[in-house]
Amino acid sequence: MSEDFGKLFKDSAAPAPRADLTDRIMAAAKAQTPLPAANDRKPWVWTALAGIAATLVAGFFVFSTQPDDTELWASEADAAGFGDLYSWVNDET
Amino acid sequence: MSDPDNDLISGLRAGNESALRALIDRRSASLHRVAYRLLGDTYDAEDVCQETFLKFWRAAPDWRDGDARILTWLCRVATNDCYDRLRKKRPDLPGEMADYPDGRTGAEAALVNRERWDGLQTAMMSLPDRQRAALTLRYDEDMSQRDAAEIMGIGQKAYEALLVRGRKGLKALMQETEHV
Repeated sequence: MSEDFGKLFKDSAAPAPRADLTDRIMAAAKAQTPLPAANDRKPWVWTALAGIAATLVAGFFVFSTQPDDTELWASEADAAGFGDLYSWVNDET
Repeated sequence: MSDPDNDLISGLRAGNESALRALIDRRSASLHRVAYRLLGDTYDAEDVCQETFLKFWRAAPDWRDGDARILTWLCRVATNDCYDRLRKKRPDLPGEMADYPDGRTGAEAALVNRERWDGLQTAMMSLPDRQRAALTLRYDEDMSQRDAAEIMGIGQKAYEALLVRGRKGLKALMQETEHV
């Protein structure tokens, strides 16, 4: 039966496209946005990398210019009464 | 997986228009046959061909070797486009059949061939879309079961089942009109 179908389809071939189909497709392809060069086809990669690099540089700058405020926090803790609390704990133990 | 269109890939990736022209010359007849069997209209089939090649042209710079054969990709895109068009507008049975292929010998032979051709295409258009696609990939394009299943996006067993149902349905329809 399979051979019968093969013959049937072969004898009843679908029509061929019109002769100018290739030219029409080529004209439409040329009318499209030109294809980017192969080495330039992912500009978003470079944009993303530049963004990440800028973030890293800015982050390093911010952290490296922070003042050392350990002493400031210690004095603030004393002023808030933490010194008394530590003394009380030490006396109890 | 070797691709018979492998010789064109580097040119297509680089945007070489002569490579595109060579691909169209090589594959447009196959694509048109498949689209025609699915849509029943030669002009719609040409539109599908054009859209398919343009999609490939846009995708070519990112084409990766080994993912698929070019013809398989083209057929898959074309059949999906046909399904979309069929969903949007169910076609009637083929109309005036103005594009009956030439090459006949004698008026009587021409009449018999014409009747058989009309009968096949009319019966094909009465089948469900996916059975029609299964049949044309097998009998018009002589595709392997694996390639045809890949084009249709289904497993090989599902494709075989579609083919069996398609053959059965087509035979019944052709017998109704006494073309087989």
